[in-house]
Amino acid sequence: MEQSRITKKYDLFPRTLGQVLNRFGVEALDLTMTQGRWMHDAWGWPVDGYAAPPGFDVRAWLRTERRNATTLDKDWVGLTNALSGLFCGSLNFLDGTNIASPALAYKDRQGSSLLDVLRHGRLAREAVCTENLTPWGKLLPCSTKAGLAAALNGYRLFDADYHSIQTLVSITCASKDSACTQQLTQRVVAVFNPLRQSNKPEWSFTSLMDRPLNRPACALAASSTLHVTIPDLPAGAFQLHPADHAAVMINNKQVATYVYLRHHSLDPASATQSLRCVRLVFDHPPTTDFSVSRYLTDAGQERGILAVDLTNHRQVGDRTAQYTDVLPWFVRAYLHTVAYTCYPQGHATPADGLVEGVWFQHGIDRQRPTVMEVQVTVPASHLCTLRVEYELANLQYAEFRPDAERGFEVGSGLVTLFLNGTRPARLPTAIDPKASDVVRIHADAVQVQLPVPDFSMPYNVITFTCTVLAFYFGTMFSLTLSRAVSYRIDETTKKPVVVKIDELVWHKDE
Amino acid sequence: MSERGPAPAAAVPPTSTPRPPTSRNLAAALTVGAAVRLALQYAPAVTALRTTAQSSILTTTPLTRWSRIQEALYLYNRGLPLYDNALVHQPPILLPLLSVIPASMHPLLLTVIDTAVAAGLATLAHRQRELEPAAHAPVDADEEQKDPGAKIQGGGVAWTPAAVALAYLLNPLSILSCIAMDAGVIERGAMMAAAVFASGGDSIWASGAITVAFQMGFYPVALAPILALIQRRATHLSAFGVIPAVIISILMWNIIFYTFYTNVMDLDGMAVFKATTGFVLSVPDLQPNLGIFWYLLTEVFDHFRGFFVMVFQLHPFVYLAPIIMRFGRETPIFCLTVYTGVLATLKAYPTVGDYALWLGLLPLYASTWKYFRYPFITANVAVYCAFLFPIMHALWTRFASGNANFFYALTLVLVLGATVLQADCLHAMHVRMHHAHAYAVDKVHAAEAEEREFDEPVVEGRATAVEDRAERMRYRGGKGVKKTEDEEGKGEVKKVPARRVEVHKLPTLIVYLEE
Repeated sequence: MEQSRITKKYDLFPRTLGQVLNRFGVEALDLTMTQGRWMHDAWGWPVDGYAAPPGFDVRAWLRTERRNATTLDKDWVGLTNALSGLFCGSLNFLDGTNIASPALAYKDRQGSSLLDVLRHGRLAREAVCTENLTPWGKLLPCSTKAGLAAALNGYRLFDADYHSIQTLVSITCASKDSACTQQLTQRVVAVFNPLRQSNKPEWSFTSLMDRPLNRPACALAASSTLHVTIPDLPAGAFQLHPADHAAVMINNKQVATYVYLRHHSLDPASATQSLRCVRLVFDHPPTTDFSVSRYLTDAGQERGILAVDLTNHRQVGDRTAQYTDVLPWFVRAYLHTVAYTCYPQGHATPADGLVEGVWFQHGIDRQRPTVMEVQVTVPASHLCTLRVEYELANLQYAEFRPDAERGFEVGSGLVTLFLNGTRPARLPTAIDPKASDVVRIHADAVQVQLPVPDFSMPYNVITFTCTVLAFYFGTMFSLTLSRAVSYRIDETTKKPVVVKIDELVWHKDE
Repeated sequence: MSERGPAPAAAVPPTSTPRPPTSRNLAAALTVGAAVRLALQYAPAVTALRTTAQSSILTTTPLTRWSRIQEALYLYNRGLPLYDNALVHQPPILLPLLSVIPASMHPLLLTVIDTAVAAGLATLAHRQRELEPAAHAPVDADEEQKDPGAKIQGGGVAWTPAAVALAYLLNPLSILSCIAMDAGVIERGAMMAAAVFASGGDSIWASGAITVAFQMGFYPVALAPILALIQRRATHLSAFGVIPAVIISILMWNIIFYTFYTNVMDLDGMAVFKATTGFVLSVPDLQPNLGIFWYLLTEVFDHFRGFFVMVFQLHPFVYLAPIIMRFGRETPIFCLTVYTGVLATLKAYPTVGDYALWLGLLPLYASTWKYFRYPFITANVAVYCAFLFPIMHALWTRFASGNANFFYALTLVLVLGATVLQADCLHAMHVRMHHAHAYAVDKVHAAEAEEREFDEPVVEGRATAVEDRAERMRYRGGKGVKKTEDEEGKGEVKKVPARRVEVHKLPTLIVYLEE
């Protein structure tokens, strides 16, 4: 779906979203609502080279022309509020404390001009639910009433091992200063495990979604096609129903293509049977030639080390990777502790890795997060570790969530991998030919435990502390405002008689 | 000494002139202290101890943690903005110095500074005999016989400078603070430098040093009037002159420093102020420490926060006036001692090093220790805290089997213990000065009794007291004599033969000032 930035035509482009984008000067926008983690080592490269991280993730490229930082902030607040209304999420909580403007990551995904400002915010803990799926479906021209979208059953989708509902707006300009076009891509990525759901290796769209694929294509759609990547398995290892598909080759992969017919279901003959794939042999898990692991080490409630292992499994050929991490303000990372060490596989002796560049923004308490971006080279068959030491802040009691002992999520780091034309063999079909040379891998999210105060204590602490201070005050003042005197017992009255002696301190000693 | 000291002190025989400092002993003490520190700083066997100390919340605070200095140095060496973060809270003045010293030499630098603190304590101990004769006036004939400073003796005789230095250098708290690479060591070095300059009568450099300490930790600025009074003892200037002079000169030093920051180091002066002094004043970092701020500010409702911060920040300063009024004239170094304790207890980010400095200054007044009322309680609190602080912190943050209240309760115990010790110091000083004065009065009595050859004393306390006073007034000279006589019945009392009462042997109590 496209809209012209100049004419603001809303024939296909949803008006609700388009008006928000125009109102707040948004050139491009990525909004992903995700649950689960893309298991790179088991599932291979993500579709289009990008698996969204868990939680709500918003990236907006804002026009900077005729705007300063203040109006940008105002527009960001307006945008997040509008999006939170549009998608029923808590995006309005994306204030300064959890938004970042990464300098290196997403460089390939800019707006129409270099002057655009990227604002990136993430709610790592936000749960995705039907209330987010429904408004997303309404952006489609035929809503969820036709085509593949009609088969999206929320109950089944949210039961998947990984699911991500994505709204992506990009901008293309024919040339500089010419009219630009905004393009909206809506995407659902889900990883189902038929074995877990039905205890059988056999699966069909009906079994996955509990709905048949029998709705006609959307009348407004230019094309409506279903692609099934055929695994590299010997014939007989699996069966595909219906078998009457057109096979094409994309990226050296055989892809079965089923075309949705306008005003008709997928295929009258197979409408009841639906699309079914029977896998008789389990495929070996596809391996990626680059893996990422992020973890905390030496971690306690006061400090720790955040470490990211980058492993290049290739025998030949170094990889250039960018690591981007946005840490909440209460995780205070030390720039001087950023260290990058590489270990040849099978060897324990480390060598200093090659750091090509570091872009670091320190966090400020309750104002902005720490943003760390490091560009490194990962040599072939090396395991490289990027480490940074951090210290945890102590929060005020009201800043903890109700379940304080659970700890706080520290989003997930992003590894941007530059393929430089060396596309990994098992990278699945890129539907979008622009899905370029860049693969983005989200490293594992981690959790930090902050020292928890006793939440039942406010009044006690105030009274105890103030009592002790009052004791201190009283003691000090009685002793500084008092004088020493001698006394003795009077023989006749048996009462102490005070013998006064002026102190020395007030003598005129001149 | 006799011109400067109080009148009764003139009765002290001139044999109490302090000996020259035993420089060989002092050098030995400093060498031992420095050797212990260097061994712990560089020995590979105690790496774990060093790492623990460097990250422990008892030995360092967010204000003074060495890792933050390292971060500041890293930023400074690369020309990156210094204060655009929540980590760096130390003034930029340290950085040019630290950046020219290789990182491996930084522990050595702190060792040198900590040893210099001990040397400063020894210098103060040496000069104190001259500057504060009132604190050393003998309380009885026995004490008068002893040569003050001859040897280490707790009971009534002052410690030698070398002993004072050694006590500080071997104090486990100061050693811990030093190997923890706490920037507070530098701050305390600046404070001691200021005290030493002031005791030498140099107010300009004293103000400069206290300005450095002020910029590092804010609270040392409270010592300014006390330093002025120390300088006054050394130079015979008027108190009304020295205190404003020191305050103005601290202002000037701050202007010089900030001009340096903005013009030479190219920093935003406001940013420097906000990150250093502003950080201490607003207490944004709530990491647990030995003090009383952190838990209250963690727990307090947000809309009361400003009020409590203000009250708690004013608190360390309210004792300045009464302490100066009571002790500032005769014993300003005692004021310094007391106030070091006040700041250690009431500052926002205290460490064991602050207590180490206070405990290091206490031996200057070893002569008052025999009047302590609760040394047993204080010693118990010290042992209790020393063992339980690390345990309770670990139980809370590491083993999750205790909660924050355990640690918080200990901070209260520590403040109570500090209160008792502080009360003992003040009480003992009161009583000692009272006794010394009474002894001096007794001696005057004795001398006059011999002169007049009274033979039949009258057992009447009132008369004796009146006589005491009259005697003293006469001794002092001036208008007091006449006034006293007018008040007390026009010389009638004088006809009653006074008994020589050994006033200094009477029980002493502290009563509120009645005037």
